[in-house]
Amino acid sequence: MKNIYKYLMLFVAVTVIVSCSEEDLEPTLSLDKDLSSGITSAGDLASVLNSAYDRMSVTGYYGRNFILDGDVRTDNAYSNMNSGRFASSGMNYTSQGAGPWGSIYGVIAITNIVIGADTATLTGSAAQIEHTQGQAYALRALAHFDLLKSYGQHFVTGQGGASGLGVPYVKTYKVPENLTPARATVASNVGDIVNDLTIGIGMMSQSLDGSSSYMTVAGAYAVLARAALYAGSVDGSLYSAAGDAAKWVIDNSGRSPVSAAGFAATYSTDNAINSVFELAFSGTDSRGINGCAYILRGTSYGDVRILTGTGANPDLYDIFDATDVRFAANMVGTAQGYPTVLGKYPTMNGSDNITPIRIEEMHLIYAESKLRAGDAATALMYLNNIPAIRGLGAGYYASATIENILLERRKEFYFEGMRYDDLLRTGQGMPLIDSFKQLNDDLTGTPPAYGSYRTSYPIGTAELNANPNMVENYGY
Amino acid sequence: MKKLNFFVTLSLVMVSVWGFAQDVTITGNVSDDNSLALPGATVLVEGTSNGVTTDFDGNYSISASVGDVLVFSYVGFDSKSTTVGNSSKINVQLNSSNELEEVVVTGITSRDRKRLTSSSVVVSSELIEGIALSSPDQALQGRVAGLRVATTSGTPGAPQEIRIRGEGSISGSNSPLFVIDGVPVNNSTISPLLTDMGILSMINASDIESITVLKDASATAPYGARGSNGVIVITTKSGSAGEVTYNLSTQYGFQNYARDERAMLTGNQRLELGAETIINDFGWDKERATNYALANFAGAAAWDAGGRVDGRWEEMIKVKDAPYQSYDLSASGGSAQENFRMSVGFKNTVGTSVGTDFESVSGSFTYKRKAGRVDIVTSNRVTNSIQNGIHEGGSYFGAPQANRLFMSPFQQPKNPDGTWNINLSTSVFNTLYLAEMNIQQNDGTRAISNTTVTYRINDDLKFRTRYALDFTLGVSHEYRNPHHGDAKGTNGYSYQNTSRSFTWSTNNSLEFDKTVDDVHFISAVAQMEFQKNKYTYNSSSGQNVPADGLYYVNSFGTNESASGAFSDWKQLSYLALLNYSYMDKYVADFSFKNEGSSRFAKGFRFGNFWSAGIAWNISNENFLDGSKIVNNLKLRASIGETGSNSVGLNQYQSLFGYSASYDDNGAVYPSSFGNLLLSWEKQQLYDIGLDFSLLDNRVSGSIGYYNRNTNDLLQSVPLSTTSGHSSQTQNVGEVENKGIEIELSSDVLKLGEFTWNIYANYATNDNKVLKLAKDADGNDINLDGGYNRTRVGEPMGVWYIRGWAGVNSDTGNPMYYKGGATDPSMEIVNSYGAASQMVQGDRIPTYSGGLGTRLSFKNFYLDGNLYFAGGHKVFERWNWYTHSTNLLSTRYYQGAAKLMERWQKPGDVTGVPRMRWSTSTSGTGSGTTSRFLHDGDFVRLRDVVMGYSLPKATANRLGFDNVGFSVRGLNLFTWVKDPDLGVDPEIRNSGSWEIYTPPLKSISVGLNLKF
Repeated sequence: MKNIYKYLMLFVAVTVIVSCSEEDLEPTLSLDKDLSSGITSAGDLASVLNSAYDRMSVTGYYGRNFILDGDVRTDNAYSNMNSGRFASSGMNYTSQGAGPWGSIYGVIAITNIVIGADTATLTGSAAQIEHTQGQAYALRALAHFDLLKSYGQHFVTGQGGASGLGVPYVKTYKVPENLTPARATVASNVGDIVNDLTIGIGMMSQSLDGSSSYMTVAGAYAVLARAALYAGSVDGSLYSAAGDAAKWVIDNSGRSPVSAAGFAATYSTDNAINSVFELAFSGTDSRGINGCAYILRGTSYGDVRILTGTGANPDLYDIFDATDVRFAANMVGTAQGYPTVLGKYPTMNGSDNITPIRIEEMHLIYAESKLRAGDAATALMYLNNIPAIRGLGAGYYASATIENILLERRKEFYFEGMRYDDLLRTGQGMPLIDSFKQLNDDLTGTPPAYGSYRTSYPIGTAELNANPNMVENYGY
Repeated sequence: MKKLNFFVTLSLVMVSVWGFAQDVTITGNVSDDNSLALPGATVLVEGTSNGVTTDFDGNYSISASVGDVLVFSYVGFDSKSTTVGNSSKINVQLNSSNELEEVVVTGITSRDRKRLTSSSVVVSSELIEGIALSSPDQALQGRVAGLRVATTSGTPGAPQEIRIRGEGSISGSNSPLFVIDGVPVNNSTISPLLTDMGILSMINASDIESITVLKDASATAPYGARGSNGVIVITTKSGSAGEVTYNLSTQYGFQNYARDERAMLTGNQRLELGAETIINDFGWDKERATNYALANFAGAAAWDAGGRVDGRWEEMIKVKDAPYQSYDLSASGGSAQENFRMSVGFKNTVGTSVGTDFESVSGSFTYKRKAGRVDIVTSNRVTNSIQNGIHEGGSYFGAPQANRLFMSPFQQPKNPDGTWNINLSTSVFNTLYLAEMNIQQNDGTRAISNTTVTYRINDDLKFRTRYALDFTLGVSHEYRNPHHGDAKGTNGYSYQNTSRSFTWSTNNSLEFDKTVDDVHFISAVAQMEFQKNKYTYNSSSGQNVPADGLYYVNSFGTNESASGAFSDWKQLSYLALLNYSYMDKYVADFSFKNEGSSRFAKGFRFGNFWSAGIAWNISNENFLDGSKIVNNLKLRASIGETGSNSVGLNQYQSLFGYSASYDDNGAVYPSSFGNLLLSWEKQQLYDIGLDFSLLDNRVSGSIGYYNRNTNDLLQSVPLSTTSGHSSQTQNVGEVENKGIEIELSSDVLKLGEFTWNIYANYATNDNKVLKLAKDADGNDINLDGGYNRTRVGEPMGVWYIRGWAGVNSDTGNPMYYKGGATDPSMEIVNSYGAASQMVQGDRIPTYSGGLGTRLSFKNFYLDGNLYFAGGHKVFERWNWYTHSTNLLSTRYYQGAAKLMERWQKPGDVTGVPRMRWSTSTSGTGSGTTSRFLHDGDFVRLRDVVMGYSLPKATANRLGFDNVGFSVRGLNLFTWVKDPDLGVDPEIRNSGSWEIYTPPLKSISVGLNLKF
């Protein structure tokens, strides 16, 4: 029996040698860092904010869909369904959900991590930390503004306008009691957007501004101008704030509208002179076949084309002067026999930066703000600034009217995602251009009118299931 | 089975010390009850370790003293003892023992079946080898009650999805654990490419001795944290004592799709329907509409001008009678003290989709040495498999099988001069050209080494230590040409990925076996096991190739990108097993396991798992002694708790990820929501069963009931995406699977050398969700998706889509049921938007089974078995394009021939709506509805094999020990319940059909030579 004990000892010995404690089951973290110890310096904070810009660049947001959905549903463009993309063109959403909901809240989460960081524990320049947090406030406002435009009920008939349902305005990250937020009203959203921008502008400093690939003081003012102009449609008092912010950008940003000769080149130039806020893309960090260039002219995965028709409503070909550089042969052409936009997303692999906000918009916002305030003379001056610099001569428009401003905005910003909002915020439905191409609603043969529930995306089933406080949009 | 069991028997009986008197040499012959020689039978002098084995002709020679007792044994036969007398020649005939006394290998122990408290199905080598599919797990289909193999893709080498007793986990894995020679192995896949390669395809089927499927609590609980989805124990072949024998098997065959899928529209039909969209929506006359379509629809004008010859896409992407071949050569031999087996194998399969093939070479070496108290066994194998794959698993324009569904017949694959036509006026690529030009290759090498040293401390106690290494190297390469296809826009694309997975495990155990007074049989095991896996990968890609003929990333200098990562996991466990049998009448079985995993947070890493089982061998009771009716009768039951740690690595932590970048600067983002309370998914399992063998063992089988309750589910609980995260992994929820399992085998007829056997198995599975995560208000967070939903009280992932109410015969418009999440309304509504999703049936089969028969006469046998499953529904996913009555099917892509049944005028009664000028699927009736949901019930003639061995004398004259021939047919016939089901009924567990190479049928001939 003595031997048995010997071998038992041997067994125990071997077992102990290769055995280990719970500590030894600690996995290796080679790629990630624990959240609680991840942010220790001003540089770390800026790196976190970088992922907000990165998330804004995804296909579902400014990388493609958010921009082109602003045109493909309107009289500018349609989807020929060549590869089954941009069915949103038809605006037949199902209650399953549609639009950029998750992508945008992903951006907001990042901004809240930055805003919520305990700055007292961070090393590095206090001013720089404050500047980074100011950027986060401005991005948070822009992101919520984009959500509000997509899901808010303000333009849907009978939903209460400014007091209708907006979106949850999320201001914290991972705080348990805020994980299932309810929808705030449109007016409350607008208030929060303006408030965040005001705080952000206060925290940022122009001396610390990076390139226009990052949020800057001027960028924040520009977001404010755009948001206030849009919100003016539900609260007219905001128009003047839009004008003030636009004017600040015109006067203080150092940015200026680009000349006719330089116009086309701005689309392939990073941080061009007219750029107020843009998102950086490169050869290795681009959306490729899921990018704007591909969808506009790829042999495959190329579905979005210029909408043309012969009816009463003008298509893009009907509104430009023959000499307008913005519709010249280097800007528009054909792909697979379909007319399409070439010059605004010139590089096929999607390595061009995308510029959501440029200075020309500020001139037209200021013009509109002044017109709505009754100052037609100033309005006309700023309206005419744009055709003038595009080489169409001074005094192109004889009078400043909302129609002329919208026409100029359509000419200047076609395929840049503005048209849809411009139509809705001025009380217009989607114009019928060609019923052969515009398959907006095959049961009625006409695109949705102003006030239709289909002008707002449905909130997805997944969100409704996970969040008991969530309410679906009217009609879905 | 026999060879392995022989060793097990050998190791059990040879437990004494060396040293004996040598008086006389006894010679003789050992044969079976039909007087056929038993090669490799053991002859042992009782009470000593003096033993020999018989040679190929059953002859032996052993030294013994007069009065010694010689014990003759052979697995599957009753042992016989003879006392040495004056005669120096002793011939012995062994009688085959009844079936239930076989030894079952559970991966941790080998145990006599009568001492098991669980049902464990053993599939032997003869059923594995012949099925020359590319992965040995495919041989299990229809053979084991309650086990289903879902064929995802017919591309050779592609992985399969196996389920045992249904699905218990909502977000975690439902795949069983694979154990090879006692060591749990990685059964994941190796490739990030669109055709994946299962790493089981890197195990040579010809090296497998048996596959045991463990399902019950007492069998799976010893696998603790990884046992909850069942365990598949693979035992490889080892050497056999005796002269060195060689075995050469070859197989050659042809493969085709098992079932022809839906016919598509011809060019003329397409034109007719296309014109009808204009007629119906714009009121044009037929001629004007036809002319418009000819002038405006892509490719139509050229097709018309060229004499309306359709492009033959479907025929050209299909490889008819795709050949496969396999060659295996093995040698084994040696003595009872020292023996070996070595094998080499080669396999080549051409796929049925253009551009696919699979080739595999393998080698193995197993060596066993007994030296005094020490037994050493080492088993080593290496396989290299190369798979040329395709785009599949989605509607990729570059996927050959997508060409079949989406390519317009107006488009021609070739130019008039015979070159490939790559100027197609459609989004869909010419995949015939891509198959010739592009590369999509997986090259996997797997090396497994398993060394066991056993030390016999005394007659009762053994110490065993095992050290196992499992190394998988996966090399993937993709090249896309710059002229046509996905990489045209980037002027070519190349991608290379190398992944390396290395697992080492060590396992030390003390094994105690003792028989007291010939009535108490005690067996106990104490074991510790540590396993560690490390995984790395490096990948790189580039664009813009300067010239043709350059395929690797080095030549693709633009937009080069690279990535790489490392991860690891560790697992540590302590196990105790106790098996007690009283006179083999009453058996009790206990197991306890304490196991820790690195996948969980500190403090939550360890879990305890246990089982208890009892069995009553009623047939060993006196009252059944000598019964002519009941040969074997066993009642068994077991209960236990197992676990699952199938959660992604590092999910418990709230982490920052660093893999993103913006403006060429690093970007840091929260990569997981984290849950520090994360722990094991647990499962309580109980089962009860009756094993029987009746009427002189003519009828045998088992019947059982099981109930698995999986709780503390590792569930991805949906979060409001306003949090920036879509889900958090939590331990919540509960799922129940229960059902019955029956296995039966009967020798219906036995007339001289003629035997007719019928065998069958049948299993049911009743799946139900009992609990889900709750939201802040205490309501269930229902998992509702666009196709499926998971809610309490229903099976997991039932179909949840809109109800199709057919076509209005007055208007030709689609109709729907109003539906609703609860209490669905059957009121008919006219638009997709007005209808709501409703529950439409199960996704997972509720019953499955096999039915087979075997005829044998002298050296000839015929075996055929049917596999069936049903009770579920199959969704034909891409019908929303191919069955759309609009421009998608007539202008942009392609429609099914079924569309010719479309509604044309008031009064038409049909299931296909009228054609519309539209691209909206939901608007024209081809949205996601029950229109494309079909009963999934099917019966398939899984395997038919006819074999013949030359009479021994003839074989010997030719210089062989044995010459065997076989002809085998796989999936030769398929019956489906729903004639509208246009695809193969064997599909993924999701129940949703996807674009893959369809499952295959094949016919092959095999030759087996032993010499």
